[in-house]
Amino acid sequence: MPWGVGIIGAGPGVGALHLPTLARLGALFTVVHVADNGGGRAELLAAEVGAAASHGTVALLADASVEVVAICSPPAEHARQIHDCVAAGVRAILCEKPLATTVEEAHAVVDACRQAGVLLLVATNHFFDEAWDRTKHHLVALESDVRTISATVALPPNGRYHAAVTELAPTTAPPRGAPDLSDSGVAAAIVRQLVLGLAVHDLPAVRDLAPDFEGVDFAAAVPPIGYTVGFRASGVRILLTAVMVPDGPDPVWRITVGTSTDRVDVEFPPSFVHAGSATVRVRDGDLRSTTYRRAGEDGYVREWRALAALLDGTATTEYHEVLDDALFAIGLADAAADAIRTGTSS
Amino acid sequence: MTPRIPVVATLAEYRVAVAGLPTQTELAVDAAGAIVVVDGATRWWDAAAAAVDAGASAVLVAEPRDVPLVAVGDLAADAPVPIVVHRARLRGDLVALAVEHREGTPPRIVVAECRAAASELTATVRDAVGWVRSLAGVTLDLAAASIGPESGTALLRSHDGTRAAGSMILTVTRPEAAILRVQALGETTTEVELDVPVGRTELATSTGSGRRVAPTLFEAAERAALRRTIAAIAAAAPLGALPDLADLLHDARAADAIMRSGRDRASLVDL
Repeated sequence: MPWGVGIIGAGPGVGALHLPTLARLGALFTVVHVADNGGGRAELLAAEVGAAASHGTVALLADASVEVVAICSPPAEHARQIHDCVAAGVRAILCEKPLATTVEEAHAVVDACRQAGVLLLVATNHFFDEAWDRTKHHLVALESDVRTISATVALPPNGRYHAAVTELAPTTAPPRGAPDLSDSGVAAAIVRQLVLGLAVHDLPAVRDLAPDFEGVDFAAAVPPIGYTVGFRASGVRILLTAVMVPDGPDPVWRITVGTSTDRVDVEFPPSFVHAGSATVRVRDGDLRSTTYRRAGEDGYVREWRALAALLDGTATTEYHEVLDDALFAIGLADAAADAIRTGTSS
Repeated sequence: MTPRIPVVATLAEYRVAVAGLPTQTELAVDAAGAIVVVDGATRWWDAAAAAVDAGASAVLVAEPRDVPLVAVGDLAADAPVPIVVHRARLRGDLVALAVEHREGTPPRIVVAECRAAASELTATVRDAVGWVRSLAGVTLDLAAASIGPESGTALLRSHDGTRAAGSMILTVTRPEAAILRVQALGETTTEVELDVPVGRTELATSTGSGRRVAPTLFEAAERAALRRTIAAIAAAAPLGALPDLADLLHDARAADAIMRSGRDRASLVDL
C-alpha cells in the first residue's frame, strides 16, 4: 500500500513540484490531504488528485489516512508545523528547505523528531540529485584536493516552467516592488532570506565537501533581488552568487568544484520541469573534457524515494546530518547578514 | 602603392603577424618611425620608453606580465605616441564582440572564475578584472578579498560605490588546468571561457530568445593586435585617447589589491 501523504501548503512548489513528482511514484505514495492557509488553492490541488482539502493544519493532522506530512509552507512556519506533526504522531516528515530559520528552532525540531522517532527528511533536491553522487564519486576516487566551490544562479520568473508541467490557477497576488537595497538593513534581511531560501539548495552539497563553516569574507545584495557571498569552510573558499531577474534566458544553476587539476561543473535544469538529473562536466588535468550521462530522475523524485527508504526501514534518518545542514545554512545566513549590516567580514 | 609600415619585432608570433599583413607592414630593425613590439615578459615599460625615445611611431606591448604601477603610470602620462597593449585573455576583438552582443543591456553582476598556476594568477586576475570592467561598463574598486595559498575570493564594487559589480573566485592549479571563465548575469547573460591549455575560446550570449554563440576568431590575436596598432596610428587620435594603458593600470591596481588582501595571506604555491 502506498503511504498516505498530507501536504501543508498549496503554492507553486506543491502544484508544479511535489504533485507531479508524487504522480511518478504512485506505488510508493498517494496524496490524501492538502491544506492551505485559507487562500483556497488547496481545494483546487486536492481535487486534481482526489484528496481531501482543508485550511490550517488541524484537520490534516487529525486525518487518519495521513501517515507522511510534506511541509511546503513559508520557511518561518516550518518549525512550528514540525512540532505540530510530532505532537500528532505522524510517521514521517518531508520538510521543504529550510528546516528552520534560527539555531534554536533547528535544535528543537530535530530533538523533537529524534525523541519521538519521527522520520525526518529535508527536501534538499540538489543534494539528492544523482549528479551530486557522481560528482562526489569523481572527486573521492581521484583523491581530489578541493580548493574552491562556487554556485552561480540566474533565474527568470518560474511561470514558464510551471506552464510546462501543470496548470496552476492564476495568481492574485500583486507584483512586489523592488526592495531598497541601498538600505543596509533591508539588504541584510533580503540576503539572509535568500541564503535560507535559495542558496540552501546547494549548501548541503557544499557542506558535503567543506563541512566546517569558518566565516564570511564578504556579502552584498545584488539588484533587483540577489546576492554574492564569499566565505570559507574547511579551508575551502566558496563563492555563492545569485540573481532573480524579471525576464531573461533559461536559468543558470551551476555548482563548480575546483581542484588543482580538475574543474567539475554540475549544471541543474530549471526547477519544476522534471527534466532529469543535473549534468556533470569535468575538465581534467589531462586536458580532457568529460560529460557524464544524465539520470532520468531528478532530485525531487530521489528525495521522495529516500523518504520511502526511511519508511520501509532500508535507510536510517541521520538526525545529526539534518541538524548540521540546518546549522550550516543558518550560520552562513546570519554571518552574511552581519557582514552587510556592519560592513565587516566575520 | 602606400608605403608599408615598418615593424620592429623579435617575438616569433609578431614576425608571423607582419608576414600576415604583407601590404601594410614590413619587418624592420630601426625603431625610428616604426611600430615597436616589446615583450611583456621583460621590463617592457623600459623597453617601451626606449622605443619612444628612439622615435617609434607606436609601441605594441605583447602580453605584459608585470605591471609596476608607478612606471607604467609615468609611461601612460608621457608617451607621445600610441601604446597598444595586447592581453591574450582579454583580446580586444573578443571583448568588443561580447559587449556588442549584449546590445546595451547591463549585467546585474559579473562572476569571474580564475584558475591559474601561482606564477600566472596575478596576470589572470588582472585580465578577469578587465572582463568585469568591460562587461559591467564601469570602473571598479576592490570592496573585499580573501586570499590564501591555494585559493581566494574577491568582491568588486563600481567606483561610484553604488553597487556590487563583480565577484571572483581564484583557484591555484597546475599549469595545464588554467581556465578563465566569466559570466555576466542578468536579463542578458554573457559567458566567455578561455581554456588556453586546450586552445579553446567560446563566447555565448543568451536572452529570452535563445543562445548566440559567437563565431570563432580564427585571426591570430597577435595579428589582430598589430592591425589595431596600425589603426591607432592612422586615426591620429589625441594622445590619451587610446585606453589600453589606462585600462591596464586600472585592472592592475585592482588585481594587486586583491592579491595583497586577505586575513591569511601567504605565498601562493606553485604546483
